[in-house]
Amino acid sequence: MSKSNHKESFLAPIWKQNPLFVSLLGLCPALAVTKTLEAAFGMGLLFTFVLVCSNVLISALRKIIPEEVRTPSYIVVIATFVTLVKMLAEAFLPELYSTLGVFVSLLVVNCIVLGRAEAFASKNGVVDSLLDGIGNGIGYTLAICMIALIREVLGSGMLTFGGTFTFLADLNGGEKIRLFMLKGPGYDLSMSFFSSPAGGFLVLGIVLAIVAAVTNMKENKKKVDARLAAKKAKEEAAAKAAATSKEVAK
Amino acid sequence: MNYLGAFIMAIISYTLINNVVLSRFYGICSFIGVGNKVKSSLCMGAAVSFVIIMAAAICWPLYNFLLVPAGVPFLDTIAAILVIACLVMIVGLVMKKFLPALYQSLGIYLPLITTNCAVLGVVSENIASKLDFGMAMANAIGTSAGFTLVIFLYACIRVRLEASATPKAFKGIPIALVVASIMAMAFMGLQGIGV
Amino acid sequence: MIKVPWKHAFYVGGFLAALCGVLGLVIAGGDLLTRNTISANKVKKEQDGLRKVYGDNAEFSEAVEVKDDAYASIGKYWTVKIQGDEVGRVYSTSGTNSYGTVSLLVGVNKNYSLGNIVVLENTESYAATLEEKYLDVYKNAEDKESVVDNVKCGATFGASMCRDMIKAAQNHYKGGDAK
Repeated sequence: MSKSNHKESFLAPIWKQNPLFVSLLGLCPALAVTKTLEAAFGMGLLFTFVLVCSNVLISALRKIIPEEVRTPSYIVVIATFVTLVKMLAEAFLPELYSTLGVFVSLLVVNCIVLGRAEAFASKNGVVDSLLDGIGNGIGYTLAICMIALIREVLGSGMLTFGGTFTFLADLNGGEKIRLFMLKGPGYDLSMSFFSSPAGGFLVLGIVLAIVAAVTNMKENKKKVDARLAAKKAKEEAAAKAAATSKEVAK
Repeated sequence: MNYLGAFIMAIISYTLINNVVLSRFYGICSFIGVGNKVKSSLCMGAAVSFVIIMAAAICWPLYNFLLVPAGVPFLDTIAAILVIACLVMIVGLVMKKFLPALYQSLGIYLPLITTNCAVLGVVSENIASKLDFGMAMANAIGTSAGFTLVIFLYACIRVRLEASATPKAFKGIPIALVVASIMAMAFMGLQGIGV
Repeated sequence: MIKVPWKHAFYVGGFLAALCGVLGLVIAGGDLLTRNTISANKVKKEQDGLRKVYGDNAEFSEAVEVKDDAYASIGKYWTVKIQGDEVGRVYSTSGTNSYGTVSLLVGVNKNYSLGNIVVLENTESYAATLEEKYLDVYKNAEDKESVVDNVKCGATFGASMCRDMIKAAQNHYKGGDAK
């Protein structure tokens, strides 16, 4: 495997083939846990853990899994890692576990995990699958953190750190760290609509529209550039042909 | 309030007030993917309803009478997903034999019911909230009814949407999500009902 | 005559069994690793909750179990002393309705007025608004007696259940120790 192949499988899912913005997979957690930035980040962390572990194990077993029981085997492997993550989260990150609730269990049926297992891990080596898992995890975490940032700032007016990851609050002497943006002591410009489910749908729709607009702009630019280059090439060829015919005429 | 009254109120609440797609955020992938085909949305709703009710009915006794007494309550996720996968396979086989037209129209969406968050979500909620069997079935029935209702309304709206002029960036999924947001706002109005 | 491919069937069956065995070991390992931490977390949460109800200076007695059918929602209580004088009790109550289970620590002062509450566990459905509409209002109110009965707030089932639990704790303290 060439080095550039590794780099490609790691970098591609972060932006160019972002699992949420481009492939539109994993929408359920993207709307449900993005009320606060901390919960979204925690979900991204657990998601990356499950994805990396299942990718590596499935890729290691890819040559000995019989064809008939492929999908059930994938499901069992993924379910095992989700159970493991649930137990670890309940023990070591109990606030995160109680904030995310049922959605930790729903990582089993997350389309991204199953999709990467079927499309990538079953056909590529262990190192590639590991990098792909990390890349997808980072991409998905970035995507849901972006949505959570918008929803939390607009919805509750301030960013609160320390509610879920309590070690941050302990660093600050027991108080949660709050960054006042739209709401502070004395003024309140927040719109609680964005913390509600309807706001979640709206923010996701607008963010996807912005991503689509940017992609369209880039594609249009590429098309215009290509057309300009073709025109220029034609003009140059015509000029060259005119020059050579002039010489011949002389 | 007697048990039957509580049961019926629970069904109504899970259908309308805590709606599965618009408030609890399960089943969004299939909700958006169904597009503007009204008839196939009803078929999909029926298939998902069947799987949800059967899965809830099977997984509740499995958890409470098998896993908990055996001291392995943490195996609930694996057991639930295996039960759901088997159910979807059985539903597919039965449909292929007895209702082949329906099977053709559903196409790829039938195996995707396994990864529908609504099914596993209902089963997990029943376990996490420590509901008894009656309320667990109310959850399942309410979720199924709510899902079918919302998916049907949504398909009808999407039919109109195809004919209107949306901005280029919004075409497809983004405008669908904005429509879902407005529907969620409408359903939010039901939250004031005193249940 | 259907020829059963025994060798292949054995291979598939053996693979599945081996896979389940390995994964079972992984889960068992995880369980061993985390079981003690999880139970320790539960105890710590209860202790932290007690401190939140009555403050850091309070001393709490040992928990007294309550096994009275008339007070079915109450599990146990602690007597609270600040600098030697009894100031009240904290009751651990829990109830289940059609949405889920709610566990509260209810503080009742010595003069039978209602004190603060701490939510230990709230497994109601994700979209439930019990905390916003009833419990937070109760926590922030100066005069708790006036808000405890406002249950028609948009989370009526959950609020009624919580009100019943709080009143049960208050009545238990008033009525003296049950057996």
